[in-house]
Amino acid sequence: MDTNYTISTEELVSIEQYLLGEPGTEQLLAFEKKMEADILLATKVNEVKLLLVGIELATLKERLHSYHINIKKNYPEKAGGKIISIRRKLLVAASVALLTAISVWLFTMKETKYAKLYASYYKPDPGLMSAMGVNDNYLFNKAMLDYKTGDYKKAIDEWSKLQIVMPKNDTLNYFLGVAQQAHGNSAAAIPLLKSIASNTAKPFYKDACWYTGLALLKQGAIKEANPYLEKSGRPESSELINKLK
Amino acid sequence: MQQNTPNPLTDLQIQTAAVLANDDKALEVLYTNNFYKTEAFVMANSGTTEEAKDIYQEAFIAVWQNIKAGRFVPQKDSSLEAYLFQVAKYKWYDYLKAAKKISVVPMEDNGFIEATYKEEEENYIEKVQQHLKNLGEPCRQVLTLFYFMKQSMNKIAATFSWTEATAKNNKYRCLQRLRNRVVGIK
Repeated sequence: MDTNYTISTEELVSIEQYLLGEPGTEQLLAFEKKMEADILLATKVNEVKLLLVGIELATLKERLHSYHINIKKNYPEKAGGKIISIRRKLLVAASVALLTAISVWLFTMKETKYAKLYASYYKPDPGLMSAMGVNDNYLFNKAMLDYKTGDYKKAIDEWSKLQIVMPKNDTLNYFLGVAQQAHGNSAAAIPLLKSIASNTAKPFYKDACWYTGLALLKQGAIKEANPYLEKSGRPESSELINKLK
Repeated sequence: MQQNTPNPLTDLQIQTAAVLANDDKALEVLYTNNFYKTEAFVMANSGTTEEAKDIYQEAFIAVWQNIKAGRFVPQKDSSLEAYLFQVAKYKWYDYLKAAKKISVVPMEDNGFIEATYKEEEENYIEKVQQHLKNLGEPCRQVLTLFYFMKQSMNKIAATFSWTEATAKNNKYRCLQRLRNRVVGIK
C-alpha cells in the first residue's frame, strides 16, 4: 500500500469528519465530490479509515479477552478452570448446603404470610419488546437492555436521569417503577406505579395496577392492595385476593 | 402489553444498535451468553476449549464487522445470537476442512460472507493494532476512548483534566503519531 505522502492535521480533521459524520448530509456529499476529483484525497481517506478500523479492532480484542476472563471467573468449572480436589469440593458443597439450610430456615421463620405470597406471585415485568413513547430512544433503550439483563440498578440510574428531563412520561415512569420494584425498593416503586394505575387511559394501566397491588402487599397494606389487584384483570389476581381474605 | 406509539424498535434493533455503538454492556452480554453454545458445539466436533475460544472470538469479530459494514440487517425472525452461532459453526467447519479433518462443509453453514480487506489493507490494520499497544499512555487511551468507546471530547477532556481544545489537539497528535509508526515515518 503506497503511503508515501503526508496527511496534515487539517486534512485529518476533515477526513475524520467525513468518516464519522452522518451519511447523506450536504457537507459529506460535497466531500465525496471532492474525493471523486482528487484520487490522492480518496487514498488518504481510505488509509485513515483503516487506521480507525485498526484502533477499534485492537480495542475489541482486548475487550473480548477481558470478557472471557470474566466468564472463567464466574463459571470456572464450566469453562474448564483448574481442577479442585473432590474432598475440597465436597467440603465446599457441604458448607454451602449447611449455610443455605440455615438461611432458608431463618428466612422462613421471619417471612410473613404476605411476603411469601408476594414472592410466589411476583415476577418482574419482562420489559419492552419495543421502545414506546420516549423521545430520547437511545438512552431509554440502552437502559432497557440493562433492565432486561437484570442490571436493575444501572437501569434505574439511567432512567432517573431521563426522568429529570421528562418527568411526565408515562412509559418512563412505569419502567422506572418496575425497575425499582425488581431492585427490591417497593417504597420508591409505589408512587411511580400509582401515577400510572390512577388513570385507565394510561399505557400499561393494568400492569401498573398489578405491580402496585403487589408492592403494597409486600408492605402489608392489604386493604390498599386489593382494589389494585382487582383492577389489574390478571387471571391470578382473584386467587391471590382469596388467599388474602 | 399494549403498544402506544408507531415505529417501535424491536429488541434485535436495539441490540444491534448497541453493538454498533460498541456499548460495553451489550458486547459483554452477547459474548458471555453465547460462548458455551459454541464451546459445546466445537467440543462435540473434535475440538478443545481453547480452540472453541479462538473460533468464537473470530466469529464474534466477524459478526461485529458485518454489523458495522451493514451486512447484518435485523429481520423480524432473526437473532444476533443465532447469527453468531451460525458464523462460529461455519468457521469451525471451515477450520476442520482446512485441517483436512472433514472434506465437505455442510450446506446450511455455507452462506456466511465475511467483510474482507485486500491483503495489503489487512497488513496495514494488523500494524495499527501492534503499534497501538506500544503507543504509550495517554495516547492509547485517548484514541480508544474516542474511536471505540465513542466518548465525547468533553468527557475525555474531563478524564485527563484537559481543556476540550487540548483534548482535541492531543487526539489528532496521537492519531498522527500512530500513523507515523505504522507507515514508518520517524
